[in-house]
Amino acid sequence: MARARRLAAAGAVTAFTIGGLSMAAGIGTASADSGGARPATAATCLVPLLPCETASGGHPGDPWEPVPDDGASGLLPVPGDSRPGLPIPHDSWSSAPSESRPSHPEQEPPPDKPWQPVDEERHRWPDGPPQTGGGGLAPGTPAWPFAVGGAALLVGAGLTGFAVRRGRGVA
Amino acid sequence: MPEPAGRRPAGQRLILAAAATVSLTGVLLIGFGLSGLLTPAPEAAPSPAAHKPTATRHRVFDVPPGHVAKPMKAARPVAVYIPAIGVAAPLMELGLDAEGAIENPPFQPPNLAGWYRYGPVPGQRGAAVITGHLDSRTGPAVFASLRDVRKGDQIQVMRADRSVAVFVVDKVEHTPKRSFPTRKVYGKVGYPALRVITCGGAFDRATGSYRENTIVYAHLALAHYPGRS
Repeated sequence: MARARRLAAAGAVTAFTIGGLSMAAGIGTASADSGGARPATAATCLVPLLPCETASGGHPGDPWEPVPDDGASGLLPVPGDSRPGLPIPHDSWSSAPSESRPSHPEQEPPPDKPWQPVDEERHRWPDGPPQTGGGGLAPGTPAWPFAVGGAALLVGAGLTGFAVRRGRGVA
Repeated sequence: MPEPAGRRPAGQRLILAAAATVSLTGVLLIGFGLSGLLTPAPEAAPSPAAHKPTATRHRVFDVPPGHVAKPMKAARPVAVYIPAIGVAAPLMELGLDAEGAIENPPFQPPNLAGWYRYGPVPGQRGAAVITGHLDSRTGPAVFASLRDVRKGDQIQVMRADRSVAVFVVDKVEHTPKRSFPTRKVYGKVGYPALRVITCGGAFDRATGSYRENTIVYAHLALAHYPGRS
């Protein structure tokens, strides 16, 4: 009877160990992997750039004048917008997009209130770091620590039991 | 020779020590697994721009090394370009949420970044801040490859007055969120600077956020005014 119990215990430990190692090796487990996922929306700013223009800097007396920002000129590149005239950094602006394009409703201030930067007195530091991730690229929690850890615990328990029984036998 | 009374045989002690070691290892492994410490960081993924920079799509400006340009006049930023990693994304304004933290751009569309309006405008004197998502809940977002930016790369901010603020990267940092360098990021600097921030490190599923931030520090190297000779 005692031999049968020992045999059963050894079998259980062996089965758990093999099961744990199998999980660690990824045999028989399924996992979701979004690493290869691609968004449906692609960048719209793909117009070939024109040759670089050299700049002379913003020094005093510079004749360059900025284009008045009426806040609703429609210059904002809207995601998903496939219009061909999207402004790009090296654009010579000879082909500036039409002013009649629809503007972005959430971005544009009313026409009677031109955009203004926030006064420096109102500048402030945010609390905490930006939370800029949804976890779509994060790999799933690996199973091997649990499998190997569980197997190790079983082995430890088995060794302890063996040592205790061996001690009783010696006594 | 018999063992002294009250003492276990050497062999038994050895087995017990091995059992304790193995058990402790198991407990540690399970603990690390639960805490996510063994969860690998996400693989670098192409940004929604999803295009390798090419000579025709993304060109960099000719900028003298080490040059810091004079501040530009304030103008509304409308788009950001990082040719080295193929980023070309529109910008939205970001304010503060009810808890005083910086607002985030929405997850959709993924190719969207934002600039922090309660700070300097990109191109003005001071440290302007642009943030964007590393990923959404389902895939990569605008700054999925921001950690691949290197010193010397250009970040171009196009503004509504048709000028372009051309920044050059000084360094890239990866910092734990619990020790986010607020002063270093938002603090005053005497030159036009830019900080581009996204998430990084391992993803903590318990809190639903990444453990680190990737922060790119850059300075204004060129104020580009198109059409001006």
